[in-house]
Amino acid sequence: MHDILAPARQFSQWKSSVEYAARLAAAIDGSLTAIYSAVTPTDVIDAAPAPLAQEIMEICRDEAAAALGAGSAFAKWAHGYGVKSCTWHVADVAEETAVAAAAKWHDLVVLERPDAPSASHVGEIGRILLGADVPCIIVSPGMVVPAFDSIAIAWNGTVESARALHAALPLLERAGRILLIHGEGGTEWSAPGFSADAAASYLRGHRLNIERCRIDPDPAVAGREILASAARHDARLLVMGAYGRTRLSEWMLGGATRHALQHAEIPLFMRH
Amino acid sequence: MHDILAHAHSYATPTAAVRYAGGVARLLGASLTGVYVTEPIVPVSAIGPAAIIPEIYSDEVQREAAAAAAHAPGFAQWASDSGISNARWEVRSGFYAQALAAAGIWCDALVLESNASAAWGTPSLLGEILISGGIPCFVVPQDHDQPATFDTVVVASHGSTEAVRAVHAALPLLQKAKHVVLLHGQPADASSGIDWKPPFSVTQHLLAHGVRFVERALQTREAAQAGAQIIESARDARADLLVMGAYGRTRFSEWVLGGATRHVLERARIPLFMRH
Repeated sequence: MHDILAPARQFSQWKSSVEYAARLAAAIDGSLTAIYSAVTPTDVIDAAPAPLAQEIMEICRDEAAAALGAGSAFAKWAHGYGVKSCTWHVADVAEETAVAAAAKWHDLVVLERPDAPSASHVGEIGRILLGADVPCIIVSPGMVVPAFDSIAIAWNGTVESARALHAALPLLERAGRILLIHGEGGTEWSAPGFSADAAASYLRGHRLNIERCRIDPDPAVAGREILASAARHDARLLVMGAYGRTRLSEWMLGGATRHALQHAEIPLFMRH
Repeated sequence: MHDILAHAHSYATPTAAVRYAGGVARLLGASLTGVYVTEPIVPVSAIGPAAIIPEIYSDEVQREAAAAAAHAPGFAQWASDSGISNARWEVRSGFYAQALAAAGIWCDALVLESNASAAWGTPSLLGEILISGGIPCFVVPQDHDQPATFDTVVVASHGSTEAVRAVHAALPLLQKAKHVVLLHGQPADASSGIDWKPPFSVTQHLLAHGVRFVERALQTREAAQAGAQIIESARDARADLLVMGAYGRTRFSEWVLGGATRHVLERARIPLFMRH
């Protein structure tokens, strides 16, 4: 887990998820790539009368140029957090597309969601998770300092849980305490082959000891119980598989995943 | 890389894939899982006492699975003698590609053996595992008996998505290599459509990870020739390992067009590291 990708919404200062990403990169001796989307709103320009269109184009060009020039300021800012290797890239497409494309060079993406995310925010994160095939840490604005002393894992016996667990291994290896929250038997929580015992055995093979906590697998309450259990354990990070319905659906995430994205008060580590 | 999975096509003695995987696991400090797969036997003809046939065959498969499972202590002993501290033996039932993809979920790489005359080693099956498994695969040539080394690694890349993913996954290996040769091809497809400033590039990515390498250009634009050239370049460089992306477009179109991946899978006489 060496290369961290952080989409940035600004190019003159870097906060929230980008700050989290920088501190994380420094903590695990990884690299940090920040990407900025400078998109020219061609549909607006096409619809506007000529002088206005001209002005809009100039503003966009200036913005793109300024964004491009932010590379050295970004490097200086990142080095201030102890990041040894960082790069800054500007793309001419929407953030979602840019992240999906850049993700194949990286091991982890740090995404931001607002404090009370709407369905469309959740959908956006879902699309990145389901499409980019890379683990994501999702933080909300106040979460800027990564901590791994206590990590909770929400285990529901699916392939996605197993992938999330495997991807989180470098962080789990730094944890003093690991809690495996599991619930078998519910509809979303049916287990095609991965029991909590299998998860525990995998972790033990990597010399990691865990505590366990069983919850009610009923989809209506699982999300709430996972967060409550993680909070009781003082977890500073929650690892979860992100499972969609089918790829043909509108990137609908499962109920517990959605609940966590909407209500979690700690960073979420997710993998599809 | 933390977890390596080897497909053991036989359980009696460690196969080429298992031995190679053991070497990789030891070099990288990773865990090793050996997996034996019992494929269901599908009767060729349905004529005759059809009710009996499935039972006979499924008894057969169960006997095979039990015999394979009994090998667990032998595998643990071999692993321990080979200096691998975290090793596990698994027996799975199902068709090879699905069983290995399922076993591979916890793993960073599969190790497969290629053998065109065995059901478990044909280029078609290897391709299917690469595509459906979604994780990097080492492919060792039939009966390969050299120990796993990464002294000289050749990377064939034309900047495609698959090439990038293969290179990124291979970084732990490339960082251990003494000599790395980057074979630069022309892009087979147009760029992804994104105008990155500055562009992402394989060379920058390698440099940023402290991998020193020399560059060579692939002389041809034709996919059909590229495979042969890649193999020749790897041989000239005396490569221990060849890294490349697998199946640039759909596997079917590569088949039809005779793409580089299939050629390399069929002809390589050195271990491969591939990712789709």
